[in-house]
Amino acid sequence: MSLLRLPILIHGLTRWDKSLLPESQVEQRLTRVRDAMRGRGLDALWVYSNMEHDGNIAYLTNFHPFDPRMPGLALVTPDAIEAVLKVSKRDLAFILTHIWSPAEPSDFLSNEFPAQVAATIERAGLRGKRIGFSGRALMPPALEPQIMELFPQGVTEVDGLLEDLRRHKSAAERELLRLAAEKAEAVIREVTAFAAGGMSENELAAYADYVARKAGALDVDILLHAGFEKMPPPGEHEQLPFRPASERLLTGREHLAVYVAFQFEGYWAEASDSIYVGGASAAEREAHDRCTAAFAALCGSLGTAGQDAVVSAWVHGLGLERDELPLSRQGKAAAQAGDILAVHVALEAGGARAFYGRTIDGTAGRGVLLTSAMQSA
Amino acid sequence: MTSVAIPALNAASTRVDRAELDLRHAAIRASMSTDGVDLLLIYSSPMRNFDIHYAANYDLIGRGAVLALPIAGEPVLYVGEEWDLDRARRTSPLAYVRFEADMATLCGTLLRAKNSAVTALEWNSADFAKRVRAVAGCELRDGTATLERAARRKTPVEQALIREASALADMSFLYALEKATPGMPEFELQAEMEYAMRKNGAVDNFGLFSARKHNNAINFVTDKPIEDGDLLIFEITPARLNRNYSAQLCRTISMGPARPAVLEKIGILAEAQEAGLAACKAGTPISEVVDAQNAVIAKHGFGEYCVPPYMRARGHGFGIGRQELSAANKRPLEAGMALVVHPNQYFPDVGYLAMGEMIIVTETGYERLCTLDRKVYEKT
Repeated sequence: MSLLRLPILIHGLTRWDKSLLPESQVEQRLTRVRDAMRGRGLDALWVYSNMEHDGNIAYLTNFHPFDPRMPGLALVTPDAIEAVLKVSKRDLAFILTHIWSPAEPSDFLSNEFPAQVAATIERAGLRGKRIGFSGRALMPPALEPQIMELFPQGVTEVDGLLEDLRRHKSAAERELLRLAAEKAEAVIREVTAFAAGGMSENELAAYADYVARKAGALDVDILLHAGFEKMPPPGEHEQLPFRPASERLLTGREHLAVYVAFQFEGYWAEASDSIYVGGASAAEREAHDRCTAAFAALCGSLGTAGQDAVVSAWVHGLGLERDELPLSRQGKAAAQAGDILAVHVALEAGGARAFYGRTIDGTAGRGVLLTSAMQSA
Repeated sequence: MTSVAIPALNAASTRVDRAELDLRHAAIRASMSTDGVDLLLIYSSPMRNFDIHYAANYDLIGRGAVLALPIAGEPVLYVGEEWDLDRARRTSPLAYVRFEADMATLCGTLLRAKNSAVTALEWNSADFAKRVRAVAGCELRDGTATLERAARRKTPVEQALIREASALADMSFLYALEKATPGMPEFELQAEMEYAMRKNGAVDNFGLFSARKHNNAINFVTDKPIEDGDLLIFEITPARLNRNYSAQLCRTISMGPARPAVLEKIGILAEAQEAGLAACKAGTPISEVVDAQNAVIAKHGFGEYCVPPYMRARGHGFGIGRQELSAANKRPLEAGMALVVHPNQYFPDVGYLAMGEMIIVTETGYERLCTLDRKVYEKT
């Protein structure tokens, strides 16, 4: 399943805060990439990313494709890194203020992208070299043959190489993810206090979006699950249903689940929780307690194949993309020690519903909350 | 929380119902007839979610959705997320809404039909297109131009939604004028503006805003604090329901009294804005709207700056049926097109200034949606 919903434009706080991600960390990252290239016998690595799957180019350059029309290609060689970005010349000067590689613009309304890549190949002296390529399958149908024919000697497709490297977060990345998780949880707290009967779902989501943007989100997504909707069946691990807000007015007494995806300095964290508008009943409190207990149990059993048949849950990796290794379709059994994960749980008990989800750190071999202690309903 | 109250517009009320979709489908079918297409698959991936919204009023979430629109008979909407099927049935007025896990196989199977075409495959991956082609067993016919032709002229409901979006943009700018304070970081003011728009019915915003004494361009917001003497330049583009119903406003705020050079250059842009709009009417080649703006700027001695990176474009549409206002675009304007005309421009002495307004083209001219003055707004 996918909750993916791209904005018109990623337009939140855009910067490279070197106090959070120092240049030395970037150097270490690129050293790891070059070590991996050597391990595969590669002289150079080309990486294509678009707005939907932007993690690899963001990892290499700090460029987040902000518009669906504007993909990018990054080139890593043993002694250099550069990028060809399909952006307007007007935008490039600003982009260069927060990326850490040199870049060439390729006007997004023109067809000059392949020619720009060809020029870069020539300039870098890549003829006859062993070239790795990541992201070929992401390219649009018309662009893919134009780019691939620039490599008459062929390329070695290395999809997964960067994804594996990205899975192992550095200390600085973990701190960025902790900050993102803290901010996502703060949004949940504020929106819980704000929710009231008579306001629309859209108004609630607008407020959550506002709180997130004021807290410095690069991007944010707010999704909901209302009481009139079907619950995912117990044991379900593919479908944890959140959906965009609507114009429906909240009643004075209802259960509403809120999902927040918060991107800070490029890194995504998630949180979800129940809001009991008008106050929680005893049954709802009990359901929420059971839900948080199920969440804790799930965190404690990461990496094992067994699933709790009482709850439905959704587990996936987080980082520069909202769904990283282990992917949501792989589930908790694919989790490894050291993963940063989103874990969401939902259940229905005694006629009451409860949702609970947070971003966790699996360093100890079991999931531990990245932030503060769990909250009760 | 904001201390200045957000104005309540009570304007965001237009709905898309089955009659509206029937009107759009009639336009698409006329275009299909012109192109000899009997079945059009209107496909949307997350990268281009607005085609399916136009044709089915479905707000895409997840991997993809497709509307199968035959030249006659009931259209069928297929959504790619089973858990979203109930919502799709609630929000889309279409009679047939189904779940399909394997969109590539579905599209390929449907495209075996004679005279069929599919839109927007370019917004999916090369491998997806290969899978569709393999199942279809033939070369795929691109139906994007067929759909775009139908969508260029906005229906009355689309125009109403765009007017609502334009009102949101105006309100948001005036709200920013009230809220902007020295020391406030750019991203915080953007958050305030965005909240004002979302609270009143916007679902998203193509938002650019920069605050510098000398801006090189309008960019994304940073943590730079707003300072006295800064020029705040904005592209504010709220979307009602979907990006198809977006309206853009471009304006400039001076933090403190505007310098004479700024007043002079804003005057040039206001003149260019007027000249560009004066050229707008059905039948006029789009390039003439561009030329009219550039001629004013050149007349004042800045013709050499009418090229990137000193500007990007002289305007454009939004979402489906989008037009680029470039000197190379000779397509005639059509009544019902919705455009922003913006002579946004860099000047060497004062930097980049913003001026732009949303219009709907008519047979005899244009309807101006913006209600603001063409001036630099001063925060004193």
